[in-house]
Amino acid sequence: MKKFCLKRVVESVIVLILISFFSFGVIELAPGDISSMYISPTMTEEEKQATIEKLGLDRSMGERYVEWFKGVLQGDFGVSLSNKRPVAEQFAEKLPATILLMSVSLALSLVISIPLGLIAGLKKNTIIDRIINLIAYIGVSIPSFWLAMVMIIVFSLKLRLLPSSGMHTIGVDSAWDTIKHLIMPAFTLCIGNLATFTRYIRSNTIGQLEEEYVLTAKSKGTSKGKILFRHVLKNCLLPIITLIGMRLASLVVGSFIIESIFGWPGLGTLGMSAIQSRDYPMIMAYTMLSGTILVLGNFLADILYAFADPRIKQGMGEAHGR
Amino acid sequence: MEDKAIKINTSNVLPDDAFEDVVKEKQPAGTSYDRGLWYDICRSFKENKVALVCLIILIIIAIASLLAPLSPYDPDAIDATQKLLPPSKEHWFGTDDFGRDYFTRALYGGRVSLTVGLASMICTTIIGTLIGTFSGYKGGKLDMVLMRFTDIFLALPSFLLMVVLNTLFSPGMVTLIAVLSLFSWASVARITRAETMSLKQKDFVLAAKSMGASHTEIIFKHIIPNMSASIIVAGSLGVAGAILTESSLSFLGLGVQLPQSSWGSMLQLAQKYILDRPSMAVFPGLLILFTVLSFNIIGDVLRNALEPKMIK
Repeated sequence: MKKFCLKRVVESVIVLILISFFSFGVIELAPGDISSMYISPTMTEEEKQATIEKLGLDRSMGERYVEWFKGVLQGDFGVSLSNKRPVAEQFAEKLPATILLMSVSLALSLVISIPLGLIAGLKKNTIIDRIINLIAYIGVSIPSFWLAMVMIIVFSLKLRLLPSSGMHTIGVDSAWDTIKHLIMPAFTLCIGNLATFTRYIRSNTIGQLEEEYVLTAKSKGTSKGKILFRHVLKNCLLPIITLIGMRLASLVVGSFIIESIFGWPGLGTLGMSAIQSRDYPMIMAYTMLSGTILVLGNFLADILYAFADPRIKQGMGEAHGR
Repeated sequence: MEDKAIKINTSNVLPDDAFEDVVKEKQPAGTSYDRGLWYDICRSFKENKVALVCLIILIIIAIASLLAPLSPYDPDAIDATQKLLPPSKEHWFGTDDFGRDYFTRALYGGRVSLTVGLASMICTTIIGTLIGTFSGYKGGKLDMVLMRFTDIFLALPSFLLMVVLNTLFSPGMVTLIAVLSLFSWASVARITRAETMSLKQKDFVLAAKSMGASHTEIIFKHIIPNMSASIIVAGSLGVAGAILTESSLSFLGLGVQLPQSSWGSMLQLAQKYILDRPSMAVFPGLLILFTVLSFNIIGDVLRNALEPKMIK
């Protein structure tokens, strides 16, 4: 177990260093001169030179990388180009909104997918199973940004039930108002996870129902509901731990389209606008942060899973592949 | 005793051809080794009506995109008098903000989306298969290094990096295909490596080796053809993923550039006019959904159909 943990730690650190190379390198390799973002045509030659020196652009790429990475390790991501405020500060401001959205959407996907998956597994190959299966297929195939648009059209424009963007109505400060704003982005974000979780739980349920302990419980006269919720569900949820770890991370990273469509004031919207305005320090910080969350999520998922199921402690390295 | 007698009697009464029927039904279907890959694929489509429907949908979309030039409208012709029309007899999907026929643009968009999806799937499959097979076949240190490399690619925040790359480099079809392939070969490499590890110990590979076949010959003539089932499945699912990612990137304006369009970039435009003409958002989205859904379902059906072969 120790060896396995150590191996994963080393792997994660390597991935993180590579992500840092990538975050830094992509900006360096991008066509166009970075300094042009900082220099305005009205500056004198001396001022230009001073800016370049201040940015450290007269030094080699390696030196600048080391300096940048040192800052990152201390939580200093530099200053945003668009509003000249520290990047880290802006991230901290937006984080709560993103965490709220993520946790609600994750909870929503679990609440819906567990019963769906169990029912589909129990009623294997019936019409109910087929319908749930089709829903799951649609869930993985639907472009989430399109679902977001359709929901805005239906619920905001036609039915006028839900607000189309933002987190609060101006001047209104109630929990209900925030919930109304949350419904659409949370649902759109959960749809992909919902589908994946449902399919996993379905196939696990089918597998677990064939196990001998179910037969034993049945022969002892345990009721069907008890078998299902006490035994089968418990064993089904185990693999979901890994999935949640991986998904939580990808939710934080992959939500920027949805967040910006709904105008959710979170990290995603911030990252999106940074990418669009080519705010380099912001983009670098965003890729680095997303990468770190993703790697941490995967790492925790693996470790948790190994702890939860002692059988996996051995040979976990092989099971890592999806 | 009496029962038995009756049974014997009735069986005597039965005409001869009744027995033939039973015999025919009981004829063994043959092990999956005797049947070709094509036979398995065709049979799974025959048996699974949903998969057949998906295949038909895909064929219709593909043919419609190929025949796009037959449309009476020029996809790029601007007509200020015909702006943002609702769907009608002349314009099946209506017109966009420049008065261009939306249906024709959707057909041309399908060309881009399908081309990007298929091309990046082919690149992904080739890169992934080569790395996976090579790694699995050679084994040892090289295998370890290559697989760690693959793991790292699996752990990257790929969509974000794709967005960043596409923003910084001039967007377009080639960039799209390159970026999509760069971030999706790793899972194919994992699959093919695992298959190679088991295949290289099979008797036919040993036999080929003892007959003096070179490594290249063994890899390309014996190992890769024997994994075609898993490669086809990975390919089908890969196209689905690629089209979905392409549409997201295009939606952000990072795909093919104007006047060319893809389904995703049409949706980007539709978002702008979501208040005036919500129907603009419906059609390209449905096309993406149906295409991706079909590829996903076909991939899964094929996996189920070909899996016995993979396990053996």
